[in-house]
Amino acid sequence: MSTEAAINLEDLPTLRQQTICGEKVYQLEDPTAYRQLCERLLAAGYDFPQCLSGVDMEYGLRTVLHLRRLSDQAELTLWLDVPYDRPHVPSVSDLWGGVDWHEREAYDLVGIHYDGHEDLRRILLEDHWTIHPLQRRYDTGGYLIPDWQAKPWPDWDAIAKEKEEAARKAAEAAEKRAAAAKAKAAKAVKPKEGEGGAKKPPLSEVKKTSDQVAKPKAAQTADDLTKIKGIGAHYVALLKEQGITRFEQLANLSDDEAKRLEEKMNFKDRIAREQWREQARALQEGKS
Amino acid sequence: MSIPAALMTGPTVLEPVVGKTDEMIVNLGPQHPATHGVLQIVLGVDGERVTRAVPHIGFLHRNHEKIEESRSYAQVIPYLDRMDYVSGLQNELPYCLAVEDLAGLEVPERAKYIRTAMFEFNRIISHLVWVGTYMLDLGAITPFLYAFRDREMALDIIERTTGGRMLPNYFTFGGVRRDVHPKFWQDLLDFLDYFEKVVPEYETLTVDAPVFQARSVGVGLLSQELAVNHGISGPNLRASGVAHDLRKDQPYDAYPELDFSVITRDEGDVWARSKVRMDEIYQSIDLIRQCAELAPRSGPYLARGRVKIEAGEQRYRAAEISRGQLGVYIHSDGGTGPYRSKHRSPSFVNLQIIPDLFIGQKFSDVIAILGSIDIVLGEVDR
Amino acid sequence: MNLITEAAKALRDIGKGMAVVSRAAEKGKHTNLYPFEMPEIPPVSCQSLALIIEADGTDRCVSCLACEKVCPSQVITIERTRNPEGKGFVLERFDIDLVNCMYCAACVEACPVSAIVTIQDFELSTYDLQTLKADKAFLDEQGRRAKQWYSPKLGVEYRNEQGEIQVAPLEQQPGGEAELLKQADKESDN
Repeated sequence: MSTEAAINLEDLPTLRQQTICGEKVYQLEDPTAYRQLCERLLAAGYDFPQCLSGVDMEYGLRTVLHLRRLSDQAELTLWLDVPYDRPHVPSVSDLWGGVDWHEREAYDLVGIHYDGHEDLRRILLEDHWTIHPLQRRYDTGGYLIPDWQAKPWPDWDAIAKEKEEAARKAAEAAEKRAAAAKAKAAKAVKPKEGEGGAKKPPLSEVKKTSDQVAKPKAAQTADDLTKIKGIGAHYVALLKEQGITRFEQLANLSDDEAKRLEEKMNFKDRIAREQWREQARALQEGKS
Repeated sequence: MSIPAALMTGPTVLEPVVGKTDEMIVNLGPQHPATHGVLQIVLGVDGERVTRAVPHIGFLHRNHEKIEESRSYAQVIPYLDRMDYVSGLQNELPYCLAVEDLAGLEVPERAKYIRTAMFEFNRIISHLVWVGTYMLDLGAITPFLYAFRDREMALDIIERTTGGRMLPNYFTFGGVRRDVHPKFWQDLLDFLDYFEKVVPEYETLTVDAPVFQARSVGVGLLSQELAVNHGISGPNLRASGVAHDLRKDQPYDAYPELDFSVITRDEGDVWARSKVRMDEIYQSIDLIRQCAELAPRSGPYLARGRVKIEAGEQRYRAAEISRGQLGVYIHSDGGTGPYRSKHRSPSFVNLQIIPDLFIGQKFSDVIAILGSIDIVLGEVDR
Repeated sequence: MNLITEAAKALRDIGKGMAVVSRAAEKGKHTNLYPFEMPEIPPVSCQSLALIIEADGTDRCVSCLACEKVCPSQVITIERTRNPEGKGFVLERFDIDLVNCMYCAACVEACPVSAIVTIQDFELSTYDLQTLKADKAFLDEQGRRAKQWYSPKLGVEYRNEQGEIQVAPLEQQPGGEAELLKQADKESDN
């Protein structure tokens, strides 16, 4: 972070920063600023040139430079947009030798001219090739698409504002939704508590009198019993038949009850051997 | 049709330098067997010393990137195999990682281990091809026969699961295309048990052999600063003393769970690059064993999901394949396929260093240095 | 290190190398005498494509055009007409340009009824490339000749002696291990 702060970015014209998909992106439109920023980034320790690609954006041509700092593996992306009629970008191959052939490739396939590159020739295609095939005005066969038209240069300020607006609106909507959900939950919980309170005494009485191991309680939701080692989906279903759906019920089983359960469900001492009750108690404590 | 004059001044044909009457121009390639494909290097030679070197590439150019503009995201994957045909499977991974990132797909645990084991297995295969062909360049035919014998067995295991040998088209977004063969892990372990005993034989015949050492120690020195500045990656970078390995520095798939350390050497010469590759074979054996131990034997192998990527999203993802950092840059316009995908192939970048390594060296060392960089022309030209 | 020790070390290391080579000679051969000894190819291997016809002579293909849409090389051509009697379509034409096909098996993945499958017949060499512009008769013949084939939906299948199509046992299927484990798990549960 400290080296990040050391890069002075404020005096560079038309610079925008954004984060796309977790990647830090510096967006530029001024070639001289691009060169200056690159020099500063190299000084700030971005020593490993990962990739340089040319992209035809249909309003102009874009150079995308990916850098990496080997000391802390920080990554960074630079965009520089240039118009079709002036596709000149200062070369940075003297700063990073590794972008040398990438620049030649971008010149060859996309048609961006890198000023100051000492050997800017076509690299993949033959020297007498006339088109730059990765431009969108050519189809896969290399022929001009008849009614292809360049798009107008985008108004980045307006787009940024729009994006901000959309993000703000989304955040507001999310907040509203969250608030509504909260209110709904509060409403829903209250009557349930009342119901549960009313039903509790008879249920506990039933439990005392019944020789059944346990009864499910309407107010309480089922726990994920598969968290206990030894219980799979198959056993969860069997336990549910016996009315056991929560850790608490499993933890409070007495030895007799456990034995009966094992007999009924053909468990063969698994409750004791795999320590279901102890596990359930631990999980119950962890939950509450 | 006029050709801009500026474009023709490049050294397609080297002009002899005035005053240096002894300089001779030698064309190495494009049909030279030691260039591993169709690579042309125009060399200026003064006696035994190389004075100038200009590599020319593009003889295998197919322009994958233009083809991919008109393909959907899933349709691109078979084309990726054909970039680096020696380790085809490894090419698919960075692209899959990038699309998974953009589309927000989660890879199931089991698929991660399958992918990692396959990835490392391909590294062994790729290094085997390198051992064989490199020793062939240097005049030793026997290691080539051994390497291809073992590679055949390894490819059989890959074929039993993926259905392809060199171009398997196996990885996909969210996992792998089909489940593994029932005996996949057992086959792998059996092969590794056999192979582990064979690798010392390779070492005896290559890095430990006095003839090879005489040709490689101190030859083709690549300094640390030059390597980093030129974006060299893979074993070439690590042999110059830089501990940069994306498996460690930007881990993907199952690598965070595996226990390994980055192999480096400080010499930076041809021998060090060879030694690093030999050590990486041992490392891969270890990593596959760890995968076989940790991988769940049942569970989903593919998380199916729709690949829908918003307009303006972009991602650069890279993975450490056997030759270095293979990166892919995807720019989306919201359509069904990538608006632009650029492949940063390691051989393409590593080949740039050739003039710096060649100039001043003896002519007989040229092939030794070129082979030690380990290039695959299909990947250079794409 | 003087010259004698250096020479002695070099001789020793070369001797080691020669020992490796002589040991390898004892290990036997690793090559096949190809047209006389056929290599063993796994059933999932994608060497060529075929169309499968059921034992009763009906096409599996329902002309849904899924393979045509998904093909990256765009080598599949299908023409179909509406079935005059009832539902579905009648397949008029099913061509695959096997010259330009890159055997990525995307069509096999996409097929909902496992009509198009991968087979292991790799001997497609020919003097005339036009013979590889496969039409439906060609692909049907490939499917009839194939001993076994693979499709992701149904797995490895083969034709038995009566000409009926059967699914291969789990031990030969991709993912068979996971299935076998699941079965074993169920048995131990019950």
